[in-house]
Amino acid sequence: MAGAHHTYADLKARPRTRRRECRQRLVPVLLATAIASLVAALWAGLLRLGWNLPWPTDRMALAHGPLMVQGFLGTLLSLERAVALESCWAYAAPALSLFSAGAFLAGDGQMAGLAALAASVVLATVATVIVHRQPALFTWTMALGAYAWMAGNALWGLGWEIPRVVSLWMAFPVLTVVGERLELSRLRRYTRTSQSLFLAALGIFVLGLVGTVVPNLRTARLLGAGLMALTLWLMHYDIARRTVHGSGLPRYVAVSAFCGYLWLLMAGVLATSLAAWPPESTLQYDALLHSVFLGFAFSMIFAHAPIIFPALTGRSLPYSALFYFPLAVLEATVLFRIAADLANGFGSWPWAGLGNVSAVLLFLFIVIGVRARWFRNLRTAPPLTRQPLAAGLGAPPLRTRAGAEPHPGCPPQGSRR
Amino acid sequence: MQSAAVADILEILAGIPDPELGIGIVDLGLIYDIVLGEDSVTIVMTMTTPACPLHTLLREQIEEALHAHFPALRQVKIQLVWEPPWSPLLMSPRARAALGWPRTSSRRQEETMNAPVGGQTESVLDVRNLEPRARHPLIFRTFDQLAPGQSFVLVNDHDPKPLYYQMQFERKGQFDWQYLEEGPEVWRVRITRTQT
Repeated sequence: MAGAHHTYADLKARPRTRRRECRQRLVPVLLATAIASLVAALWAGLLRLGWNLPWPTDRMALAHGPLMVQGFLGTLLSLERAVALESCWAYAAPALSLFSAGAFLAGDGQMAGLAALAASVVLATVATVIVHRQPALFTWTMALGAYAWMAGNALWGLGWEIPRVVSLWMAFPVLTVVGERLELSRLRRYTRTSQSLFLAALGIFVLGLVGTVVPNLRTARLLGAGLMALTLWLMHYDIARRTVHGSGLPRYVAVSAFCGYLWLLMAGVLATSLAAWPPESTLQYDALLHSVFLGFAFSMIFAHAPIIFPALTGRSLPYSALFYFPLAVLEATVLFRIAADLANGFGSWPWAGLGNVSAVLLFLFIVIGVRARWFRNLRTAPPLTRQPLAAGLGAPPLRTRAGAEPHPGCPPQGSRR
Repeated sequence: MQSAAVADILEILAGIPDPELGIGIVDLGLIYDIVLGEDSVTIVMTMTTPACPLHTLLREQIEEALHAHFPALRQVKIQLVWEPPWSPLLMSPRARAALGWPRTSSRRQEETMNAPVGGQTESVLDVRNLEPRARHPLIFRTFDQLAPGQSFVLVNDHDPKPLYYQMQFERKGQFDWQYLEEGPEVWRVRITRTQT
């Protein structure tokens, strides 16, 4: 290209192309490795619950948490933000997060801590850039989630045990998702009252978070109160209250989101009733963690996969009613697991865990199957572009070509010339 | 391309929904402008927040849909802008109805709904950072979504006299024009909708 004459448009277009290249090259590798990390985490989970499976390293069973939090969730959430920001440097966050999980599995705990910290510093920077672009309560909430992850990783890197940093790790997906939902709630009802209530709930949650780090039991229990308050806020103000009356994908997303909120509420109840922080009872600890990381986080992931997968990869993932199937299995088996925890049912653990794992694997199988068109004979929704406006939301049909009224308020410039 | 194509393009874009909401991106107010070239078209659009990764998906759906409808179209450019930021005020009445907003909302309700925490009660449309060609469509869009009696404050870097003349021509007798600040660097005008 040396010496070639560039027009202004060319000069402006080039960085965009480079950004697109970043996404197209990095996302498939990072996403595939994150899913590999998820599968490894499931394997490690089964080992922990007593299944006698072969394991590649002695650290496999220990690695369940780091593989899930850093390898899978950390990678996925920071990948989403990197794609949103469209900056190549932002992809360092998911890459480092994956590296952290790998280092832990390989036995280098120090390197794992350092890489996790670096990943979360990059994500915190991304979140701060977004806050700078759009200072608002919801961008701040998402940023708080990234900062909590960063604090948790810093303490983990300093050698703190996982039970002492896990509340900060929990705050990461919780605040990220809650921030996203707060953003969407603007489309429905965004009043001063709703924002003040949200701020109050957030305040209680953050106070509780500080209490878990100190640790001070009485303050730590506020974490539960904060979780309950945030969940009740979501249950009242979330856009899902409206879209659940729709059909197809919007309805599926709303149903899954509400399942997730029920688990978050459960986590809140569990956290307020703890006898010690960090929890001394393995059963209570298991119930709390899996309400958040499994019940809540995976309901949300199941909900948004048909939206996020195309956004990240540029490949379509048509909605299919089949997605309800793994969702139902997930909710039933998480319920079984929490019930087993609360009933001191150590004996049911392996089966509950196997159920949880099968729900996630079933979901992956359906995603792959929909992509590969294995279920073509079953009725699946048409691609998104062909869907009518406001499908199923009870709105009047899209104006027809014949009786076209001008679109409200958008007199196209071209037509006036 | 013919200028009549803008209406067609808008209609095609209206058929592309936000996947989570099932509501079209035009009704959500994400499309700021459509600019036609010789054999290309530029779509100026926004997202509800820069934290949202969905623009990649929408971008591809827009490109695919437009190329499918206009085989002669050589290039679809999509320009993602963050100024002015999206606001619920940009949603069409139909989208609001679909999302359960009160159909005939009183002025007070509207104000609370769009009010930022501890902020002003009247919505402000600051078009200074927006490309000049995208300004008027957005202003008309905002105006048309006001209920009678409602107003917004337009902030601009020059005296928006040309807009006044255009509004005199296209929305004659429907608006009230009140200068709040007249330069030399910033102009603020309260534009009120007087009747439907």
